[in-house]
Formats: sequence, C-alpha cells, structure tokens
Amino acid sequence: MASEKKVVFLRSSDGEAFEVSEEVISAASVTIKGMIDEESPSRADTAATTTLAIPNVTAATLSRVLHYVNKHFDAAAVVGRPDDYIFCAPGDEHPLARFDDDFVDVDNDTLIDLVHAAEYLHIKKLFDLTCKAVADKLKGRTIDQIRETFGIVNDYTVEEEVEVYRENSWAF
Amino acid sequence: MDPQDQGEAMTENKTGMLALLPDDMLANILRRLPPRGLAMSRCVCKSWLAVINAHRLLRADLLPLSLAGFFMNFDNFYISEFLTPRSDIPSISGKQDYLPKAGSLSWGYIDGHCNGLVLVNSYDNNGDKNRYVLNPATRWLAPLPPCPPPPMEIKGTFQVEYLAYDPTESIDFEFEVVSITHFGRMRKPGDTHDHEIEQSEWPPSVFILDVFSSTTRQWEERSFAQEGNSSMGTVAGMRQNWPSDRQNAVYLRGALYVHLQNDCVMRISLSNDKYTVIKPPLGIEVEDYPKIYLGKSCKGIYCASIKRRCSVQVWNLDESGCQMEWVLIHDRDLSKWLLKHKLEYPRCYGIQGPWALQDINYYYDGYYSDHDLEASADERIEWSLQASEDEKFTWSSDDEYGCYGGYMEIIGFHPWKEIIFLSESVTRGLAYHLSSSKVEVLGNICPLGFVNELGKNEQILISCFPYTPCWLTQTTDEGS
Repeated sequence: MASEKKVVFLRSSDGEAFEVSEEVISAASVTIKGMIDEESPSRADTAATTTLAIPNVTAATLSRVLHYVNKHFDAAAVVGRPDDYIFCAPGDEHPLARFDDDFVDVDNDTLIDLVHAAEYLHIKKLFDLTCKAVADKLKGRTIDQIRETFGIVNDYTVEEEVEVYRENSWAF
Repeated sequence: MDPQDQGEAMTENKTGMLALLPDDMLANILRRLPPRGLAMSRCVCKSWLAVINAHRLLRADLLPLSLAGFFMNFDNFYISEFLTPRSDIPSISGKQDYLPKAGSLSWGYIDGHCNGLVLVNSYDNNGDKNRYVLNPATRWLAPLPPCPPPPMEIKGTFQVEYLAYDPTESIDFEFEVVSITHFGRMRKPGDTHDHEIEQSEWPPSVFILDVFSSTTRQWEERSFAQEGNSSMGTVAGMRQNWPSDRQNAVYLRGALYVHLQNDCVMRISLSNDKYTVIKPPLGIEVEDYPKIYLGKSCKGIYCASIKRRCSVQVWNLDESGCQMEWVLIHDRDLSKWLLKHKLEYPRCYGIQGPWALQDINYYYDGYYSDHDLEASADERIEWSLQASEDEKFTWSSDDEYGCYGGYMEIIGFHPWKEIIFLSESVTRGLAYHLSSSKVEVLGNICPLGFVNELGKNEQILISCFPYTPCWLTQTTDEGS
C-alpha cells in the first residue's frame, strides 16, 4: 500500500474522468488539495479511489491542465528546479521554458479557459503563465485590434472616447 | 466542449470571452502589461478603464511624461547646470552631492539622459572617476562598470556611451547602455593609422557593439546587422569631422538613434539587433562641426539646425518608407524678432522670464547653504505655455532693423509639443513654437560665473538635453 502511488480521479463538467497522482495534484492545486484533505478521514482505511467533481472545468481544458501539472509538479518528471521556472525567460536553459511557450500557444478562447481553470483550481504558476500569455496577446496591438481580437464592444460615447484618448495620448 | 458545439459557438464565443472575465481576473492580466499597454487598454472600453483605475495599475504620474528642464554643460564647469521653469519650490537638482564616495571633488557631470535616467560621472577625492546610471528624481543609482575595449580595435578612437531606457515599455525597470566608437582627428599629417582600416567602409556590415544590460549587470558584445544603404563613408572620412559632445541620442520604441560624425544618425534597434544609417538632411553641408541637433518631440524623431546664425530649420524623420529620410517641416529666419527684441548688455541684467538657471556651480561651494534643492514627489512642476509677450509682432512686417550680431544655439526639443528651445548668445533662453512661429523669452541662461568673462560670441555651451523626471521606484537593488 505504502509503495503504491495513490491516485484520484477528477471529473470534468462534461462528465469525463481523469486519473492523476494524488501527490502531484496536491502539490499543484490548492483547491484539490483542500478537497482531498476533507475527504481523507473517511477514506483512510479504504482502498477505493476518490473521484472529485470539478464542475467548472471542461474535459478539454482539464486534460490540458493535467498535462501541465504532470510536467511541472511530478518530481520524477521534472528536471532542474521547477520553482525557478517563472524567472526563466524564453530561450533560457530551463527545460520547461519551451514547454510553457508551446503550452500557451493556443487560440484565445482556450487560453481564457485555462486562466479560469487555473484560478478555480488555484494553481498559481499556471495562472501566472496564462495571464501573462493573454497580456502578451494584447501587446503591440492598436486599440481597434485589441477590440477586434477579443471581441470587445467599444461602449464609449464619442465625447468620452475623445477624452480618454486625450488623457492617454502619450501612449500612441 | 463538444466538437459540434465548438463550431457553432465559435463566432459568438470569440466575442466576449475576455469581456466576460471577472474584474479581478482581468486586473491580473492587465497588470502584466507595461504602462504603454495599460494606457492603450484604458481606451478599449469603459470596464477596462474602470478596472485599471480601481486597481491603480497605471501610475502615469510617475512616468517621465513631463519636461522638468534641460541639463546644460558649459565649458570649464564640472557640474551640469539645470535650466528649469521658475517655481517657489525647486524640483530637481543638478547637484549630486549624494553620490557614493562623494568628496570635495565629487561633482556630477551628466553626459546623457534617457526617460528619467542620466549617465553621470563623479570624481572621488583621489581623482578617480566613478560612473553611474542615476535617477535624479528618486536618487536611485547603479554603478556602471567600465566598458571593455571595443571589439574592433582602431587607433585614434574613443567610446561614447548612450542610455536606452523606457519605463513605459517595460515593467522591470531594465535599461541598457550602448557603447559606440567615435573617431578622433589625425593629430598631424605624419600620424599614420593602419591604412587598410582607414580606407575601409564604416560602419561594417555586421556592427559589433558593447551593450551593458541592467539585468545581467554586464557588458556583452552584440552583433547588429546592416539594413538598407547604411554606409557613412570611410574611416578616414569620419576623421574629417570633429567629434563633439553635442552629438546626443534619443531612445524611442526600442530603437536608439545616435547622432554620429558627418551628421549621420544611426538607428540601432535593440529589439531586433539591426542598424540603419540615416543620411544628414538635404541641404546640410557637412563641415567641420556637427550641424544638427537630434531630439524627439510629438511626431517622433526630429533634428534641427541653425543656419546663418539665426535661421531655425527643423526636420522630422519619415520612417514610413524603406529608406528613412528627413523631411523639412520648418524654416524661419528669426532675425526680425531678434532685432526688434534686442538683447541688452551687460548680460543677465534685465532678462526676466518664467525659467531660470539653477547656477549650481556658483552656489556649490556652500556660500548659500540654504540652496538645498531637495527632490520630492510633491514638487512636480508643469510649465504652462505662455502667450508670446509681444502679440503685435508679425514676421511679415517690413521694418528694417539692421544686421543681427548674436548667435543662436539649440538647447533642445520639447518632448511632446512642437517647441524648440534656443540659446541666444548663451545669454537669453528662448522657446520657439513651431506651430504658431511665436517666440517666448524663457529668461537668463548665462551662468553667474561667466557673466563678466564671456565675450559676445564665445561658444561655451558644450552640450544640453531635455530632462523628463521618472518617479518610479526601482525594485532592482543597488548592487553597491
């Protein structure tokens, strides 16, 4: 029993279950660690595996999240010092810098879903990574391009827009 | 999401995914943008503006967006003077007695400025030179180690360092310093340098420069590839032109524009490691002494030149085409105004205006100990433009006033308004408004130490550049 790796199942909002090491997911997600801790007393002596419902995250997103979690939090898989990864710029030697770049190289909707999931599951590193990736998509774009890319409606009146443009004109 | 849903929801979902984010999550995304990105995001929609304001994500008041004055270096003065709008409370001091290793000889000489940071030299009591990157507003400073010898060793050259810093484009306060070779003159005809090098084209097609990065705190060699027709001539040709302190630089949107010999401007892109040479404006005769003053104003990169003592010519850099070129936007002979509003001698007396020189060199010795120019965040000054003092003056009047005997020099450009600041015979400071062609008297600019000694046409102004204070507090430690 002790040598056997404990696993938990996570059930997505659309009903798909994913298996993940309890140790790994506990290290990654504050939310799930809390759920497991709550369950613990009742399952101490049973060999039955736990299934946790993750009602806010779809299967597509959850599988991506777990891919990330297994890469970053599985001590056996991680090379180097995972906690330092956030300080590594792309191109640095850290083995996960490239993985992270590829991981967030997705369309806007997928990325926003990941931000939501990271926030709900309380995975700080993933939250930072995805928020930064969204911010990077805003960089270097004109105001109109930002509106277009993210489908945001300009709700300023003409007068208000003139005023807000004037105040921030140094940036154009 | 089911695959069939995905296609259907595509158009609808594309709109509003980001718009539907909760405020604190949106704030978490936006806070990773540099100030320029935040200012643009404010204009996207009302809720973004509200989130940015509520979370105080953008502190535009701390950014170098206001002109505090001009640093001016005079011949024989070891401390840079500061020309600034008059106010009851002085804002920034040109005096840097707070530098480390300050001693009685520790005088700050500022020889470069970029968006609130300056390059400053100070000498300790042993006469050793210490070089710093300094923020005079917050007094943050970082030592700048000596630059290694240039990658390509050429006799009779010297290195000049240029700052590249833009806190509106970065969230990490990082800056870079670029070291560029300038050529000295041959001392006498017999002085020979390596013939092959002297006849070679400058700059080389792959230009290797030493660049200091605040992140690594090290100088490293970086290669810049040539773009366009970027030759400035031969090395020997460069030597025909007198190297001068008046050749300054501007950093704008990731590119450093450096005024080099022969009045060429080199645009060095630090973001994509390329360089381009911009030829002098047409009609500028390249002579001994540099003619143009390089600066930035509301429409990007500008240069200006004084023709025949008192004509102001201003060009704007057109960067839209593949070959960047200067476009003449203003050409005005100021002699009519200057003759009508004649400068009274002796110097200084009677020149009143909204600006004043701090006269650090005169007060430095402690005769006036109350001349303590403390910088504080509450003391920011916004100089408001004054209407021309002589509304009746017209350029087209037929009055003849004779021949103008003074001479004009360029102090600098206003960074956001089309105003050029001028020195008239190093005595009277003038602000010339390009849009209205109005001349405004700023005040006296002759340092007290020079008042009685200065001849009418002596060129004692070595260099000057605008200063825009930056009040951001750097998180980088000082690395003493």
